[in-house]
Amino acid sequence: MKLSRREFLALGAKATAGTMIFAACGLPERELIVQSPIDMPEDLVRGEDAWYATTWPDMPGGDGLIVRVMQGRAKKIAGNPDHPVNLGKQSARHDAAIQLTYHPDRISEPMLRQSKGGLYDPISWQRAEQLLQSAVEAGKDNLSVVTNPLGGHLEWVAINFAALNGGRHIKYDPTEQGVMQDAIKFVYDQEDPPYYDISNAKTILSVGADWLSTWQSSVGYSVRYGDFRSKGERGYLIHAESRMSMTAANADLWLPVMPGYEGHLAMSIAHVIVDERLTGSGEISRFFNQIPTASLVGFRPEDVEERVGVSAERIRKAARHFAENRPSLAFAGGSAGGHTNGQFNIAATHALNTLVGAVGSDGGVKYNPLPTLDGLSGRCSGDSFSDWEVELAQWRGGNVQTVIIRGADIVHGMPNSVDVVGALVGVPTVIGFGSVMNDTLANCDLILPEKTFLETWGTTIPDPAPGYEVVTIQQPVIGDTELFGGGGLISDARGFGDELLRLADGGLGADDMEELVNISIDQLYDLNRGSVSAPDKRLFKQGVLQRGGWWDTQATAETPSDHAPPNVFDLDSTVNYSSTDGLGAGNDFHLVPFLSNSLYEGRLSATPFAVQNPDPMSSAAWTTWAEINAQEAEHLGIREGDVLFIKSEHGEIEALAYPTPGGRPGVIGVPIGLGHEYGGRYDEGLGANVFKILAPRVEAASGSLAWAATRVRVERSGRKRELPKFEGEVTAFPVEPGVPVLVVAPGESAHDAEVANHHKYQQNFLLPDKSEATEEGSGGGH
Amino acid sequence: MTLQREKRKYSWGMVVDVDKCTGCQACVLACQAENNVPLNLQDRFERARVMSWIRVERYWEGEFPDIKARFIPIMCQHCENAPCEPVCPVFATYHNNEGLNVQVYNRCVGTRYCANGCPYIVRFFNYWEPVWPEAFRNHLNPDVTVRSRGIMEKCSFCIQRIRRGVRNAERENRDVVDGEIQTACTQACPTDALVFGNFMDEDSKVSKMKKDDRHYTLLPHLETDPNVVYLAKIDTDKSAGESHG
Amino acid sequence: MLATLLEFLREKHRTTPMWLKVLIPVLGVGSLGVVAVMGAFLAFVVTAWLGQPIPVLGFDQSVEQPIAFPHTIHAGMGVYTNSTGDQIQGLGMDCTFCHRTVTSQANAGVPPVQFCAYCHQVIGGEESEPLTQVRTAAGIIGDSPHPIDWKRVHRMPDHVRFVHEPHIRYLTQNPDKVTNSTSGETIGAAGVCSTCHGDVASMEEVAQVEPLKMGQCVNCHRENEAPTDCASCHH
Repeated sequence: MKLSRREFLALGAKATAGTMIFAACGLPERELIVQSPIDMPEDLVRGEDAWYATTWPDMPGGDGLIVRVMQGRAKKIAGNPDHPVNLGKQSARHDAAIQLTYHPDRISEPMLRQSKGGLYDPISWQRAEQLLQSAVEAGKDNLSVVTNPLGGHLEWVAINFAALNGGRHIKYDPTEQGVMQDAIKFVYDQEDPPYYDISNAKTILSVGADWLSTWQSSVGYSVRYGDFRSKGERGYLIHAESRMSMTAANADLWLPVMPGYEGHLAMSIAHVIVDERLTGSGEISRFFNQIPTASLVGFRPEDVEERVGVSAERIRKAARHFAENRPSLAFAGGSAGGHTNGQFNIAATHALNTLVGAVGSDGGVKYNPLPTLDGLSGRCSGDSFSDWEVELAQWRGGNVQTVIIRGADIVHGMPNSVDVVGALVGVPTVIGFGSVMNDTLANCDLILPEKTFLETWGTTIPDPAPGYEVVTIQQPVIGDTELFGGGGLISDARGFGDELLRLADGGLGADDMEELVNISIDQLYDLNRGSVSAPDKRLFKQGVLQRGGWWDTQATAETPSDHAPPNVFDLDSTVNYSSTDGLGAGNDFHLVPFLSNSLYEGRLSATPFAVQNPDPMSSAAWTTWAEINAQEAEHLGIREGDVLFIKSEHGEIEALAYPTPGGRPGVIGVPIGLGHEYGGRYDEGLGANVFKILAPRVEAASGSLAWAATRVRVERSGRKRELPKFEGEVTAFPVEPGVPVLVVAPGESAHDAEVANHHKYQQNFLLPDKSEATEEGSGGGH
Repeated sequence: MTLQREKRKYSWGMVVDVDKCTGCQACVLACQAENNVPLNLQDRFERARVMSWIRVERYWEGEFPDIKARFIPIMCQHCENAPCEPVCPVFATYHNNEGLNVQVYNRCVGTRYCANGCPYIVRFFNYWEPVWPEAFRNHLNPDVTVRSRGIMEKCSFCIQRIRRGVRNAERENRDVVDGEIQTACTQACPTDALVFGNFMDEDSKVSKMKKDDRHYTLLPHLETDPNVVYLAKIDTDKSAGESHG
Repeated sequence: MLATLLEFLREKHRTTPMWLKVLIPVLGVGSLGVVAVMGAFLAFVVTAWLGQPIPVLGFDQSVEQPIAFPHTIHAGMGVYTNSTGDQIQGLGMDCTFCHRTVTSQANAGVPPVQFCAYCHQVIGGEESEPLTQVRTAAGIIGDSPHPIDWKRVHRMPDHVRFVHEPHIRYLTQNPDKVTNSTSGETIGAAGVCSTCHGDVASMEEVAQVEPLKMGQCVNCHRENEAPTDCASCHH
């Protein structure tokens, strides 16, 4: 009898009682398979694993990426070393994004819901496209296309597809960068956000913007922060934010401002600079062109310290350092804009640049040129909350026939008060594109599997650009992924842009995204300048794809240093902070939601890589926590892991308490990103969604949601859970007891610092007087 | 026998500028993606059994509002005089001729003595079989073993990348160029707080950075002689000769 | 005779104490249990050993591939019978023609279906069963192209990172180190492959001929002064 070894093993296994043991020793079936892909992957042709340059249009910043591809599988995402924005670096979010493509719960085929709220049936693409076609035809002139802020070609397609069908394109951006852009317009008369020359600055004053973690092009800023700290004289960072964010943690001077008073702080800093004559008279007069002289009255640090929440001494210290150690640079954003007076907060901070002559100089603010390609902008702002309220009212009123949603989880991202689900019910046909389920897709009538950024063509325009023109090209680095063992495709997906172009049937000038991108690459070739020069269009295209894009370092915008301020502050109407109505005295807190370092606003919450990546400040993962000042928590009897009810006028969520010595008293910080009802096996039912309880207050000038302006009451539920966090997993190993991280004074050597610490240690711990020793314990930590 | 440092061709090491570390966690995930480190599911956190070849520790100093956060990335220090090596009964961990503290997975029997011996707590034990759904297996790095249950693992200085770099140099009959070989964490680090290179090369970036006045090693009194050198954090509010803690 | 035996048993029954009567069956069953456990353990060890790709006890090492691909006709130089029964001259193709990444990468690599189709779009009769399968996979027949899941013949355990590239480079530069384990001849320009894979050109179905265990690796590494640092292969 001819018995193969495997058959023998199988027989042996069946014959003994230890089947389980053998199963454990057996070889996984998959390891015995070598797959011949259908088409020739490039790494097989070249005999090297291929690194393709591409980008991820869903993440603001427009970072260039390279992806390692072997035999048709993407293995690792890294920063593109050639790309001018991020210079070969990446954030944790980019690494996690690979799991969006290979997610085990990826939507594999089109799904149709039989009735509103009913179950889904899988259908063929042929039928799905018929339904899509008829929905668009039925929705002629009554169509809305909803996306996240994309920039580049994908957004162009969405805008023009909507226009072609007489509909609207509406963008959803959870943290409302729109406020900032209005403020930029107000101060500098610029459409696009400027480039902040962090590398060459010596003092940076940032307000509200967590620019080392999530704000705008955080990777690019971090790269420049490295230069700022090490190039020549070490730069000095002043950061004002109501929460101890990652940027605040890295600041040399943290100004823990009361939420909503960021603008007052900036005015007070200006007051000190003017009052103490820390700058030239030319700069002061230019500043007064923008902000009326009289308006600084009343912003003496001693007058504002109580409401701003920062001591006068600190404000003066910050102002002096800012004015005296130039080049100085001031910018604001993030939570500073999430208030009813958000635009004032940001504009007042930016106006400080005028005072120190930072506009147009090295180490200051530099304007960005207009986008290279017509109609393509990189602007990462969405439509304002007020616009959304109008839009949702249309949906609810049955005035919109068809809604197409892509990449925007509006059900998750909008407060309870606007009732997005209710509005979606009012729309006859809701079509959603996506790669993994989310709360919004779960409310769609037709769900279409969408190709991820590794599988499609596109472009991104960096926002903000690095001071010159940049176009980043996105190309498909992998084809369809075939599962092993004849399992078929991981997802029978199609590109969102490709589908819209197909529906437009030539009406948008191209049949698919690749053609559209090619047209733009040809336009770039015709410019005959920039980073790629080639004798013909074909080689030019190759060069652009290899480098990951096209840029022209010479194509800068002129920044007039004596720019005439286009607008004058009307302080009476903008300055006043108005939080939502208090819920009574006692346990009231300012609620400051913040973008999660790894999940962003939740677009990565389906990927376990991102969900398990510890938060930089709390080291927590897999849950939603609430950061409270440790002393305040002790006073209120709140301990770590207590399940807290966080209640606003508009709802309540549960979060685990995380008392931290870095918290600002009176402020509670809650991360955005979790709390999905749907989102694949790793995400469902995890944590809480802080968006839900936000009060629907809007920023006065732009109508954006004042997302950092909600006040909440905090109550203990009486339950307690262990907070999943990395802190405490390993014991600290101090250089000397109480010195986990060696700190030196400027110019001091590590050796001297060690000796000094050692002497102190000997005094406290080795000499008999123990009373002093007990006071020397470090403030928390690992 | 392990060669003395002076006789080596390559002595790999890292310099960590703590002053530039922002705590952004990019290195942590880059390492995990590169080295097939198992997913840290929620219960791993709750049971304090999270595996993280490189971690960013955060300490607090002072009290509000004069509070300072200190970040420090910790990975295997690749000690020349490693406490983990002599305690291994099966020689699964040893020092090689390039200054690496090597963990041989197939030799390891899981006594965990090395983890007890390591003062830096950078060795991790696989208490469970790693969970990789079939779909995620597509992105696993084919150059790195997927470890199974019951063995120790730790930072390897991305030895697969070192091997590849050395191999490429050999093929082209040249020495490895400084900066050519990057570990996943140094490649990802946005601020260049982590720098990897060859200490035998006098002109390499790490050799130059090591001469900085701020250089120190962790737990110097244990005389482990690590191949990871730290540059101290600068605090402008501190005056020279003052102690902290 | 029988009566004597019965008498003996009766006597035994009378004299044997009760506890011994209970204990004997317990011990009997118990020792059977011990044997069973030891047997299971032995079976475990044996299967674990057999689980490695080594031909012992004459068990057939070849695996059945989804498509009967003849290495003979492609790589060999002799005359062979093809799937439709015709006599056909071997092509003598170089191994690296299909296994292209072998000179530059860890994996030797299997060619994509498209690559097979370059030739077999034209070459080979329509009645051939394996060629029909290849053409179906490539989408020449029908319209559902699909990848082919080949069965791996030479499998290294997951804790070994074997890289083809330096081995091929070294053996190409030192031809005297090349050995062919079966026929003693080299096969074309890529003859270095035969050092570990044997005379693949003469195998209709490829089987593993060398044990490819660590001892063999280390011996060869020592002979050729290649690194024997554990971390060279285990990481």
